[in-house]
Amino acid sequence: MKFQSLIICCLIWTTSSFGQDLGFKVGEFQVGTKISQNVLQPENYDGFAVGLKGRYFMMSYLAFEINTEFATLDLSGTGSEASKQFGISTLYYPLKDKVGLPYLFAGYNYNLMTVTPVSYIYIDRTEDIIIGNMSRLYFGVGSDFYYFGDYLNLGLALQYDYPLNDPLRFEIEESPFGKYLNTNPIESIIIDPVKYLNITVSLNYTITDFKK
Amino acid sequence: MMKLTLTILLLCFLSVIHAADSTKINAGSNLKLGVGYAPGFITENTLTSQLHANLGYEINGLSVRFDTYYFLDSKGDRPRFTFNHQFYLGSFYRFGSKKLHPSIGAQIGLAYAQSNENGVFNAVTGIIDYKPAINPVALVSLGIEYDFTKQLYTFFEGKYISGKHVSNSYPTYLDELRISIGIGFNLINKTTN
Repeated sequence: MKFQSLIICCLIWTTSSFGQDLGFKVGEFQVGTKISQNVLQPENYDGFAVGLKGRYFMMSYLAFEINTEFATLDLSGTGSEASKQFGISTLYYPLKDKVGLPYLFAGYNYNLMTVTPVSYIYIDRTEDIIIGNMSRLYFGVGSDFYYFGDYLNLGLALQYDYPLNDPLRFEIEESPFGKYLNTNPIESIIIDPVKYLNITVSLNYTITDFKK
Repeated sequence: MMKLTLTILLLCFLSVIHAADSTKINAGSNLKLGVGYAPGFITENTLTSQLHANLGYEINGLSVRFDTYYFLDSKGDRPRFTFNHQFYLGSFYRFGSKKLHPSIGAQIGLAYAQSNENGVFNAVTGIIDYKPAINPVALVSLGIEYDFTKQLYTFFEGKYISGKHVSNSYPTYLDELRISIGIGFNLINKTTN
């Protein structure tokens, strides 16, 4: 399902950007809203992230961006994972004035994560909540492919996250009574880390031009 | 499937908007304030009701808008939430050059909600606690505005909201089909045509 969404987004991008006068001006500052989902997240995870971002076009081919995101994931009904993320990145536009306005980007994000197992009416698992932080480098490709007039554009980006430290350790186990979220697995258990390939759709609004 | 269909429908409207000459439609800028009532429809024969307020800044038909929904009540076979207040930020496009303006929009937001179905017994107080939580939500919107005067308009919008309430207990879907009816005011109106 997630890969189908990715393919459909790519098709819409390739057809809707033709015939447009695209571009940005040096000195422009854009703010945007975005929605993201990890296309590689396990099948038993359900959720997406929403966030805000600010982008400043420093030079003809270079922009700087800061962003923040908030996501909650349902871990197959056994618990939830909440993450608050702050990131900074640099964007490079190698084909400025070309169809689709593609760019490459690379950056760093800091992620504060909380995993909360489900409590039941007479079983309180508040003490099993785990909190941790994660640092990641990320890089990817994007496109500000659709301009609604001079101030608003629609963007699409694909981002791969490379973790710099170990993630929180937890495991969804099968038991005779159903699935159970173990937030304290023994050290010898090898847990496959979640891979992150995020697809992001954003609406970006030019609010000012610092060069004017 | 429904989410994918709605996403494709919304993106298909891009071709309509692209064909329009936006420099002639709704030229000018507006600071707009709208208030209204927003009933919603969720699964299992349940209705919700909210108060809706929005504040937006529009240039040439394109606006950035902040919306807030204050949860009043829900009735039906499965009310499921004690409260479900929501806040959104996003963009809308209003087209048409006469008094009647169709609009289309997309927003992301946060839902501050408390389920009344799955709680945890508190041994100290002796009551069942239901933990409120904040979760991300997103919506797409189609609507119509009718201008009574330059300062006053009425709006009717239909929205599809998607999200999931997760806290310390079983998750509950926040998916909802919501309509919003109200009146709006152009607080600062500068037109160029």
